[in-house]
Amino acid sequence: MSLVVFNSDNGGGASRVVDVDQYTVNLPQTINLPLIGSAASTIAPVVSNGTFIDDAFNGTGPVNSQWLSHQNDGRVDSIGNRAGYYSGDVLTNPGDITEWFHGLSGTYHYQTVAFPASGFDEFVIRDVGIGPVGNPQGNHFSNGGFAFTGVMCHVDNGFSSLDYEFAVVGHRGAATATLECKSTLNGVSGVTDEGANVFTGTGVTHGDIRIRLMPDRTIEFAYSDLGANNWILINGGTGATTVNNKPTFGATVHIGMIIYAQGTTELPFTGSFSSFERASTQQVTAPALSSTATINDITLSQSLSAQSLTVPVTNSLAQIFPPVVSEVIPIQSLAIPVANSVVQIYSPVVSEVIPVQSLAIPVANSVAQIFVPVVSEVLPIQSLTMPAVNSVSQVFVLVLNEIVPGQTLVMPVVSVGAQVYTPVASLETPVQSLSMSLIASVSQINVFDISVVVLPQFVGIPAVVSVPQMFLPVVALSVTQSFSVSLISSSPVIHNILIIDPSVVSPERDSKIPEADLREMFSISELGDVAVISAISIVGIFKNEYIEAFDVVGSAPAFSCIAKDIEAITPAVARGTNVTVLGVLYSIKNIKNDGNGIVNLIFNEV
Amino acid sequence: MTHRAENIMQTVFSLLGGLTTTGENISRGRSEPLETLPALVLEQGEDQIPEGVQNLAFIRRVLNLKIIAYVKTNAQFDTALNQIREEVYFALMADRSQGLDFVIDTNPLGDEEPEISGDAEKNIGRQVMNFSISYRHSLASAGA
Repeated sequence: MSLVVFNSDNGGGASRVVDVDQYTVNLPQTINLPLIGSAASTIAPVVSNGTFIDDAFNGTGPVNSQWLSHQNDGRVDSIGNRAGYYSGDVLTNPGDITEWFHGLSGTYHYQTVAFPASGFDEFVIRDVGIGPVGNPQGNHFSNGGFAFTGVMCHVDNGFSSLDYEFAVVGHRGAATATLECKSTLNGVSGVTDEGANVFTGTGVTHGDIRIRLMPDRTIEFAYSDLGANNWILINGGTGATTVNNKPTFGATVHIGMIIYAQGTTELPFTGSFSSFERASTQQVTAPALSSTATINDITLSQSLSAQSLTVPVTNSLAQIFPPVVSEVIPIQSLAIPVANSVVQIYSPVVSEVIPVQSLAIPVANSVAQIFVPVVSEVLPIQSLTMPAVNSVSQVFVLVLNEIVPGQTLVMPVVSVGAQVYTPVASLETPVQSLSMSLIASVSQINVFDISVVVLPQFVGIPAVVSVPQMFLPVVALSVTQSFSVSLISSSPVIHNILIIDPSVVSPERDSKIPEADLREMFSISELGDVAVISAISIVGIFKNEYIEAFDVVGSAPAFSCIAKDIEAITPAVARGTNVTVLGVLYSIKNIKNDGNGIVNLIFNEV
Repeated sequence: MTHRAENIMQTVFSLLGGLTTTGENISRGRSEPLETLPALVLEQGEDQIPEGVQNLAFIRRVLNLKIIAYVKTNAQFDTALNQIREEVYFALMADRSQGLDFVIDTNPLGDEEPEISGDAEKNIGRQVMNFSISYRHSLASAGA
């Protein structure tokens, strides 16, 4: 056993000795968020919501370690987890040792959180109530006494004085099956209740409680039937406990669970809770900027949950947003706002090791804009969307280095010139859908490289109507369910579409040249072209040399490729089979196999 | 003064330049390979002087013409050649004087067998048609 002395710093002079073998000390509960609003300026951290660890009270045994305790000395018996419930039995109550009223204080398990800077911080506590010992979730029949279980918010003062507010479920004399609300300031309490049978039905002693911590350091209480979320604010809809004896909360507050009785009339009983969860979004928000040459350098490097990270609207020149998130827990949403300025760079980098549910880049209306979302996830991204853009000189570079499925990747419609899209996906698992949209501009290059080794369900390249355009979709897939290239009506257009289907390549072959050498020889990155035969793309070398026959000018189209690739096509490739190379339709006139694994297809132009 | 053989060649060239199948794709004196098919090539052959066909004023000649039809098709190539042969024959034999007052007669000498080459992007077919045109000119000048 090790003892630690905690001294109060609020002037009360109180101190407390605790056994550190029984107490858990949380790590610092602040988030450092440096905000830089202009050149050569520094803004102090503005957000420190603290940490809170939800609890569903699973298992059986002591209370989970995130909960600190006050006077957990057996006055509430058998307190701890019981298969999905926090519960404790009040079997005896000598001298009202369990009670919370005026100067009396019982057992309390709590965590410490901060009041939010804006909005509210919401906590929902389910199935709060009292029941018979041995049947805690049943309703406790009233004997006209006082017995409660509920949620208490205590001033973070080291318990040097009793300053708290709470809402508890139970019996309060004639007000049976009620919700009692109490405020206590320096050991003097004010108390009221919501009347008998506050929950739907008669004698129901279980319900849900909701608390909201407000920026003005007040607390709003509400209750609901079990799981119904039909929240009713206490005290005539005000949500406040009482108007008198209200404590003054500081920047942080204890929130937690109490079980108590006054007298012994209602004994024995069991008080219980099924869950205590933080329901609100922890918001980390950088301010809007409206000056020139501004930089928002927002870095989150905490180990706590940042549910939302928002970068503000900007209206200025030369702005850079590099929000960098190095979280180890989920970010539900990361949003960059609409921008209305010139020379803007968005470079959100997410280096999560857990899912990002959504990453959205906004519509931009300016010139010289660069969007470089880089995602290096190791877990799925449900949705990743690039917006429509309407300006010139825009560059979208999208890199996905996923090793798990990217469910959707959508490139936007563009309608101006000098644009480059380089979506590169190097995935090892399926891409359900990957599409590029309609493009109607000149001087566009789409380089589309998918090195997927598993099944892509669909790959679509859009219609284009302009010149000169180049599409280089390269797909090396094991199985391709659907691969389409849509209508193209311009020239010159280069379509270089490669599909290598390893399933059609059996390990044994009779060529004298090793297959690896053949593959290298006919690589699309070297001299290779693609011939489409029966909707199958084959890589080979296309020749169309000049010849003269009967003193007539002609050409001799022929295609050399790996014989095994041709042999694998069904229906079997034969004379008369149609082949498309570089957009020209040919008919096979002759098939010449060199015996070394290479076949030379002699074409007739159709 | 133009050699009457040239008059004949020009006339035949003009006649054959209006056929339905080959149209204006006709050439003569060609040294470069053909590019556009179907086409006709007109080649001038021997211009013989048969024995016993001259008097004190005129000399008689027989000018041989070689007309070569070319087609490029993956369809039945000799069908295409036969169509051209029919058009050529009609063009030359409809008026055996070719509209020239010094031409005595035009005679078909027979056509060679069609040939085919499969080396190019489409099959190329060729067939030679032989004609002779009898004409006369003065002893003093081949152009009069």
